[in-house]
Amino acid sequence: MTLDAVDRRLLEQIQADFPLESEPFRVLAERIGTSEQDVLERVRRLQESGTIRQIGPVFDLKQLNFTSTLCAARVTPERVEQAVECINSFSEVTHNYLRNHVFNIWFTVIAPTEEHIDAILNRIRAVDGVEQVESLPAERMFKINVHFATAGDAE
Amino acid sequence: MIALSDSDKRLLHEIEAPLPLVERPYADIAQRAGVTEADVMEKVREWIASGIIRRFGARVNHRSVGYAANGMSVWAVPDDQVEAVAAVMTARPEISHCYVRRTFPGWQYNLYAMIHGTSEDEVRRVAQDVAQQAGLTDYDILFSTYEFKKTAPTYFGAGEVI
Repeated sequence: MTLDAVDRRLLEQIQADFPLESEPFRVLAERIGTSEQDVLERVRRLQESGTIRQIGPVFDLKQLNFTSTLCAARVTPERVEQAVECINSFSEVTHNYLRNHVFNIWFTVIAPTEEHIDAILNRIRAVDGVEQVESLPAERMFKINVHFATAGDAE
Repeated sequence: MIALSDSDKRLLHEIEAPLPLVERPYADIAQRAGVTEADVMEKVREWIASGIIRRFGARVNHRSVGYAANGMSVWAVPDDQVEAVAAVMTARPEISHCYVRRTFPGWQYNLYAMIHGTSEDEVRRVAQDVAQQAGLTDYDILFSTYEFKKTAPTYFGAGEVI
């Protein structure tokens, strides 16, 4: 999908500073110099096309006492489909990617406790073709760049 | 950890669902949560101030805004050099996240940096720059060849919608 200059200005505004005011789309319209209806139409279109994933809060999971981890899995290539089906079935799994490495499946898990995460990983380890799953929680974090920050970015 | 009342949790459950795309979205949320529109905005401001909410806004798919390639670069860095290497990485605008994680047999990489670029070659060039600047040779870049899932986490039991 092609983005015009107004789309880009709008995306910049709504990522960092979405108005907490009664009529937020009118405020955005004033900021970027268009009408409220135009902003609403653009946001709907950008959301339908998947450019905007969601508008809302990004929580600090530590403040909510949640824990998270990044997992590296080594899965027999012919069994990737079944493994992914199992991995994706957990709502606690927020991101899941195929990557070009022997450790070919990388996913993030967010849950209230480590035990909860372990239980999920053990279910995944039991799937045929899943050779190894390593949980690699962040021990230190140096940077989250706000313009790239997305859901689950504190894993 | 900040104590949350049941009515807070009810409101958070509504707030973590995608924002309704209507003229007065907070009035919409308020109605469902059984509070006033002013309460919704005040509570969100309060939670931003207390740090429960890190940011209130849109999550954007970076592939659609021109960052076609995302590489997870992984680096084997001696413990006493982690700080210095991380400083090199965090100075780069192309790098969004930088984390230390444990190693395990067969995996010597302890520092992870997400590199964003318009092409895989551009991502590789950033990694080469960082390697040179930081004096490192042992690294790899794992490109995502397929996105199986990307959703927002749910903390208060709202349905996942993305």
